[in-house]
Amino acid sequence: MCPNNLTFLVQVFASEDDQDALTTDPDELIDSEDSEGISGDEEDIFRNLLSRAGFHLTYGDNPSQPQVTLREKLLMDAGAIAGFLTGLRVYLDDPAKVKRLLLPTKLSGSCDGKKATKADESSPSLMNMLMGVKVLQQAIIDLLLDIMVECCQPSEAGPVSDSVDECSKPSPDSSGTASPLQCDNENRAVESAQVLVHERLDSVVEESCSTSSVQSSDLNGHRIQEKALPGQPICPPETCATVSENTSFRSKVQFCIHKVKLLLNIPMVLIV
Amino acid sequence: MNLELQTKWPDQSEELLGLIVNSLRALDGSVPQGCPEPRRRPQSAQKIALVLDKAPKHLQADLVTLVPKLVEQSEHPLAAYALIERLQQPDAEPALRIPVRQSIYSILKCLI
Repeated sequence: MCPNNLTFLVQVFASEDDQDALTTDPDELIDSEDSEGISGDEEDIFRNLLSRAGFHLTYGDNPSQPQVTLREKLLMDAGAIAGFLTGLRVYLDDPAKVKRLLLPTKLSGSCDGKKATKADESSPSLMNMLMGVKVLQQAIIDLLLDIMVECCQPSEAGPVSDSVDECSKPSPDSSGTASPLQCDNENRAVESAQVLVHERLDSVVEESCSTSSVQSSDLNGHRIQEKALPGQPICPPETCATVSENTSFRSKVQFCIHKVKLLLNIPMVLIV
Repeated sequence: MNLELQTKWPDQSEELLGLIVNSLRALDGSVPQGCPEPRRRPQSAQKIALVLDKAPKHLQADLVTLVPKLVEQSEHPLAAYALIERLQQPDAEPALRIPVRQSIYSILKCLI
């Protein structure tokens, strides 16, 4: 497998017990010196990571067979796609990580073992590479839109209450003070932003639920026949509804993530 | 009405918006614009309207151009209406006229 194929390993769900054995933390993978150039035993490491992710590849006569098999598995496994997208949303709750995925990548351009790295404006970002995967493209565009909404969302304390206070003050004249109507519009925008951002995080719960459902079915030995698109809930509505009724929003997310971790207990590997 | 309100990520919001816009612009031509498209998240027209309200002025033209990509097809008419309405506002930026027309043209092409 030629390193020029730009193999990126993005781990989403790592088993906590296995952390010591082989790092699957995306930050460590990206920062690691080993990740700058692939050499020597990288195929074994790669195969090992895939195997831990549940992708058991066999080498046939065709050297590109493992890639083909992997691609087919990734494209066919709706649970894997939904799980990856869920993990990506959770991962990108940190602006530093969003930035990291949007900045040009440092590419290893060698097939012959020489380490040549570059990072310039023309290099694609990891996000762009992910968007190059057709099955992920629309979901990632939606995710970016949600992040943009989040960037425009006023923080929950301070400015919101300030703007409400300002609106409650009577406007003495027309000398630039915001009118009640303007304030009303602004507040509506603020509320609407908060609703939209909550929806973004709610979708994490939705994706987590759908992933756990798929994977639990797999664990029971039943092959999933229905193909679920990312974002479509597979779990029975009551599963998510019960969670949403009884717990706070954050704990809902934590609950579903924990559930997914328990059920999957695998790192997700994505090859671009 | 730019990012004057304090946002969740106040220090990085503008930079992140810029990076996202650049990333989406790089997709020009490769995003499937026609039908059918997989199910997408709802309220995309509402979301982009909110982003357009709050985004820095220097990003607005690019954001307007990205509307057809960012908005789900079923919400394209809504997005087009919102863009036209935006142009009719008294404080509308004249520089947005061309991007708005381009976006509406793309939307119409998808609808036909």
